[in-house]
Amino acid sequence: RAMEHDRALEVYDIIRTIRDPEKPNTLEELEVVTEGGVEVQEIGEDEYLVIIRFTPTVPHCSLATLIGLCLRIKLQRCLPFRHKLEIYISEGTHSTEEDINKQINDKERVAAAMENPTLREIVEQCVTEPE
Amino acid sequence: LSGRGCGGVELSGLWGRGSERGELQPNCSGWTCRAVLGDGHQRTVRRVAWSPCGSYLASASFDGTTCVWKRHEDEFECVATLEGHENEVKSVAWAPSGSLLATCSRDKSVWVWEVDEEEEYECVSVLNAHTQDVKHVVWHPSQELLASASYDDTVRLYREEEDDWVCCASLEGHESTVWAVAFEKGGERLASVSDDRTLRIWRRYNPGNQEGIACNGSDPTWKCVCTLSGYHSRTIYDVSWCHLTGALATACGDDAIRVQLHQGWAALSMKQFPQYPINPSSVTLHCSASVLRTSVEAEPSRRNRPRVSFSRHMSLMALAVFPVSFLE
Repeated sequence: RAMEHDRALEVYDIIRTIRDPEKPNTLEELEVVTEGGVEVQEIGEDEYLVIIRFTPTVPHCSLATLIGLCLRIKLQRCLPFRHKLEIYISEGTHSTEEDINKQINDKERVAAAMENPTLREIVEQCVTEPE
Repeated sequence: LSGRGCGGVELSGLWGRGSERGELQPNCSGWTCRAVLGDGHQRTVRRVAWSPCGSYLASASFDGTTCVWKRHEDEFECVATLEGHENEVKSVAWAPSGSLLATCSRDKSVWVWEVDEEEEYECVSVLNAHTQDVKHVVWHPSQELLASASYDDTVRLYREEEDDWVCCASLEGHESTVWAVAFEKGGERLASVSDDRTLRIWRRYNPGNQEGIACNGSDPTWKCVCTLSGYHSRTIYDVSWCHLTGALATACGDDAIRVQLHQGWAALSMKQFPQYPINPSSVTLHCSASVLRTSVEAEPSRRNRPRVSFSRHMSLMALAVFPVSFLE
């Protein structure tokens, strides 16, 4: 359990500095992500299931999927241990949360979205650490 | 044969000629890269499919187009670019006759294309049966019957009617995106796999069937006769039904390949999950003969012996849960 807790902190450390697509704040500052919203379960030898629940600031569908995309991309790039990732909107925070959850957990949809130059640019700006 | 993410199609082939040695890749014994079709697409190539005759290759891309390449030894010439889908094309498949092609897309539609002797391609139908992204299309092994799998959690079947194509069945039951489908060799069964982590087998009941299943006019009815759950721990992305041996293989997001062999299921690459033990106590296999259901639960204490309740109408079902087999 201690290992899982450490891993959760590692995850949170990576996602908390992601910038919100609209506001000049990090997801942590806006409380879009919290330490409590990160769950890690060991599923194999050095492999973990990471579950993130986030709360978008506004109930706007495209922004929520954008945040979901940022979370996925940054973790894909920065998380050093083997993992499977699930991202969900915190229950009760959005009217179309099931729709959003389905999209952001569909790897084909995520891959296709990242090929969209406009979307990609926004995501890059949100996830890139300032120098 | 592989699709490549940067827009190219890379072709590998196994040949017997020794002069190709210079191109040999160190880890692929016997396989050499024969051609790279780099200029066909502007985005990810998602699927490739050889025509039944082997002379043509179709490639479906996220750029919204499907290219058809004609093979001249190691040279490939793009003989057609099929346009029309509004966004990413996810799958392409040739009908056994070789004169029909099907494509599907995130635009929710399935297109049927016809090719004539002059290698001219024409769209003969745009099918809008699905309400969401269509992931996969596959043809029946011997009939001109088309199946599609979708993000809308259903599998749809289509056939030709007069001069157009119509959706003749909607297979409902999965609780999330259906990623792939595969027909059994005889075409009387269909396997589907889903984000809901189950594998389902659907059986075809033709009009006038002896089980007394009602049919709509001359169209067969498809019923889900088997659901395998609790065995795959993540999304199942692909399924393949071997026409030679009847073996069913699944590709899963938990990094494992599972194959149903003659007598049961075996995991080729095993992973231990605390919540999904290899000898699961929670695998449930719901199988039915006609419309009746039997629930089977594996008991770890009774090694590989299921608790099965039979109805007197059941004529089948030798079951051993993990390993599991289902027969009708």
